[in-house]
Amino acid sequence: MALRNLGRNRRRTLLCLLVAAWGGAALVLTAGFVRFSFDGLREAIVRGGLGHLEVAPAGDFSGAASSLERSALPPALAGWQSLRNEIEARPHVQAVGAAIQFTGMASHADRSAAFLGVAVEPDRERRMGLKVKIRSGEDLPDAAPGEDEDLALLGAGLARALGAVPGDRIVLVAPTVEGSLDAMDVTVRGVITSGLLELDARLLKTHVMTAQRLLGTGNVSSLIVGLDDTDRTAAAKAGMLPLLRQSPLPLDAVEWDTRAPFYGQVRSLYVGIFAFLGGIVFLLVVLSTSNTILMSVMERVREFGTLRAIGTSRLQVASLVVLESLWLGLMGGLGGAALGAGLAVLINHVRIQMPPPPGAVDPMELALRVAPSDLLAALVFIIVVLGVASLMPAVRVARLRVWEALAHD
Amino acid sequence: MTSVALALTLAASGPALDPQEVLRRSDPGRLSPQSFRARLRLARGDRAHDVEVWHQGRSRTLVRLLAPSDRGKFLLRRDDELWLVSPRTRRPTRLPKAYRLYGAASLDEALGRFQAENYVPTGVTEETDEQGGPLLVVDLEARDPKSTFPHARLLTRPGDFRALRIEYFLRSGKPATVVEFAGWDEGRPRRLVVRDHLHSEGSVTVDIVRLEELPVPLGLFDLEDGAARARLPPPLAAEGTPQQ
Amino acid sequence: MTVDAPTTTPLFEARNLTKAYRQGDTVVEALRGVDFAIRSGELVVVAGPSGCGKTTLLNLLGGLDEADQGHVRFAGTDLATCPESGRTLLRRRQLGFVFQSFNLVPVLSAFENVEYGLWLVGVPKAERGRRVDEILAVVGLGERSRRRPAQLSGGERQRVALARALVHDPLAVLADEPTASLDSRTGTTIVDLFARMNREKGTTFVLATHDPAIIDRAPRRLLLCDGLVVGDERIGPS
Repeated sequence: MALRNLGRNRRRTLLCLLVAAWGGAALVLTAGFVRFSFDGLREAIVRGGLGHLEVAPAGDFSGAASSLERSALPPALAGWQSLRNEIEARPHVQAVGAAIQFTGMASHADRSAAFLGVAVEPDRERRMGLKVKIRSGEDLPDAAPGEDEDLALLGAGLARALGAVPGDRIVLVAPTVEGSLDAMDVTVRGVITSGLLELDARLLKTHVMTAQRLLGTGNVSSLIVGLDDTDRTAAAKAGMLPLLRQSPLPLDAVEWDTRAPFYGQVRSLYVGIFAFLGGIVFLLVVLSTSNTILMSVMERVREFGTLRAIGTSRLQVASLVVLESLWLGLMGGLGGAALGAGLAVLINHVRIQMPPPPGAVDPMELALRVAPSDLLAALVFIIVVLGVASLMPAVRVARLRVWEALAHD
Repeated sequence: MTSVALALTLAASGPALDPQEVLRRSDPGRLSPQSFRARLRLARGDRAHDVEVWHQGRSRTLVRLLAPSDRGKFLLRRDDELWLVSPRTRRPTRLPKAYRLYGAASLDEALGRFQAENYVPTGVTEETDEQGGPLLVVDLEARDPKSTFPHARLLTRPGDFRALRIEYFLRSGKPATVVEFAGWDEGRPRRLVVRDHLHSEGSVTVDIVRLEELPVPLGLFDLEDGAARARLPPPLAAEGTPQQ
Repeated sequence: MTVDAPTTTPLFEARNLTKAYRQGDTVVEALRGVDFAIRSGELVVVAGPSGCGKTTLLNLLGGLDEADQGHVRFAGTDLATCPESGRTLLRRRQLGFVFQSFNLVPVLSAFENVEYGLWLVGVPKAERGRRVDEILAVVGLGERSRRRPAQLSGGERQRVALARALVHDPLAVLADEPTASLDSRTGTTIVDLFARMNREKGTTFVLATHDPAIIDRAPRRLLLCDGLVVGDERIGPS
């Protein structure tokens, strides 16, 4: 009877369905956008150089998660080659690469600038899928540089500050692990961008061998672990811990999101925005539909009176009203899910370029990621919303005085 | 006149209350050799680094780093410029004047460099030290208003005018560095203790292990041509150890 | 079908039944102390001019409203002290209603409208179908039972309403102006049905009407005027 009642005023029912569907579609699209943002940010963080896990001496990360703070610590990971090879042999590990964080001054002609250095093993970075955005010049070669063949990639801002272009020779000065100082000529191999303006102003990237020569050490700061699937990060860390415990130096493996606290902040921000939007959709749909539902109910007062007269209880007539709304919610939610999914496909097809987020450099292509769970959630949400919208009318119906309802026109 | 916190022969004349005179007689570098070679040991905590200093005239100093990992590296001081000479670079690299050698002390501090002519004594007062001994305190103002340490104080003993310490202050009046002179031998302090109040890393002790007066070739301070540096003799041995 | 002789205990009993309604600033005394009793198996017509309190009386007898003063007992239950949920159950199981405007659910077929009452009391589906077909056949609507009310004539709709009121074998059927929306011939047919059900099933009928044709044929007439019973006439055996 509830379902058939929806067909009594088709125009009104259609209007309700449209409101519900658009509300559902809005939620689906928003979920797709948020997921796009989260996934995009996550992969950008991981593939941008952070890797999935970082193995380093325990305590290096405590209260000093930023690269700048950690770069002040001398490389302490000795015997890293064997550890790297052991970790690489583990399942789902694409590659493991040594990394050194260091700071110093870079000079070119009469210009100098401080740099934040990261030394890597380029071949392993590529196997991990860690991408370097080359602005000009070339990436570091796989092979370790020989003496006097040291190369460096400069962040775009740093290159500008030094007035250096690929092919130029610059001088790097850095404190050695012994406490003195050393300088080294390096050739600029390329200019890169991290995607973050502030980091580009200081970023310098070299081969691990180059940094070790400059710093006067055979150690590295850490090992970056790249996995074949970001979702396996926690499991990979758990599997690695027994191996790390065997090391004479206490080691720790830290996930990428711990090393990128701003990801959690961005995520919280987005969740808050999404919740706020969901609240607005909730209110809009409730307000729009509850009035419509109330109108349809008030037009049937005598009918409800009759049902009450012939023995239908208050709860049953109220349930009838709610059930009608739930049917509306189901149909509207299904329509909304389908509409949202369809619109997402369409939007992705159009390939809209989003402006770079604050602090970033490159624009992003919008690619909404709608998961089945989003469609289900939108459906359930709309059903719940319509259910809530029907509560007031249901209460009104339940409170009808039978004799008054029967006398209603 | 500059000095490596070395030979300072103070005339044991009577106390002079003229600030300029007290300053002149107490200047640790007043009687230091014009040209010398010395081996210094910089110690902080349980770590020590040896360097060899070649000094010429007022403003030229070459510091050869003696640690095996620092082989072939020099710090070159010419007037107010400081350069790092490294075998890994084709040309010397300019460093900030305040670069801290081994993170311990700047070159000026390690050398006990006090340029009296850069300061104007504004007054001298008589005080007593912790043991109740007499002290003369000369207040100094830098001639250059842009000086890093516009205020300083020289504490010296009346009678022999042995400088006890020099205190450097920032513009705000906050103490920055204190250089103490100790281990006096043959009229020269053989030890400096440098306390840096701006970096909470304790004090650095600079010991003059060996000192030799000799003419220092100017070629050592040539930025373009490192030939003279390449021909340097082996470093002075530490006293009691074979020549290295 | 044999009909048991009416029992002595009244099925309906009203004592000093009083009810007033507020209409804006005016208080309308619909009933002003009405006393009467209706035995099981009777067919009683409550007659009177428009506004005399007939509908109010039926509402009170059916537990659709509460009296301001006095009592109504139905099947031994004092409706004044019975909670709304209890009255709902009484109506569901032991009463049937027929309304002037038929009051059928438009989205249900004739069959489903009648079936609804059985569904309310929890009759299994197979039995529901059988009983609905049976009662619709009795009221003469067997072949058109799958049509919706909008596709039926007024008379047919009222037959459906009667079938709905009877399908669960109630003790009594309350009908308020059951022929007001019908032409005279159809109305007569409907009233004949009421009489036949009363004879064959022994169901008590209380009809409120101002239709002289029905009043004249009633075996018992309860005359109302200005909220008071001014006459209670038994014409002959029902």
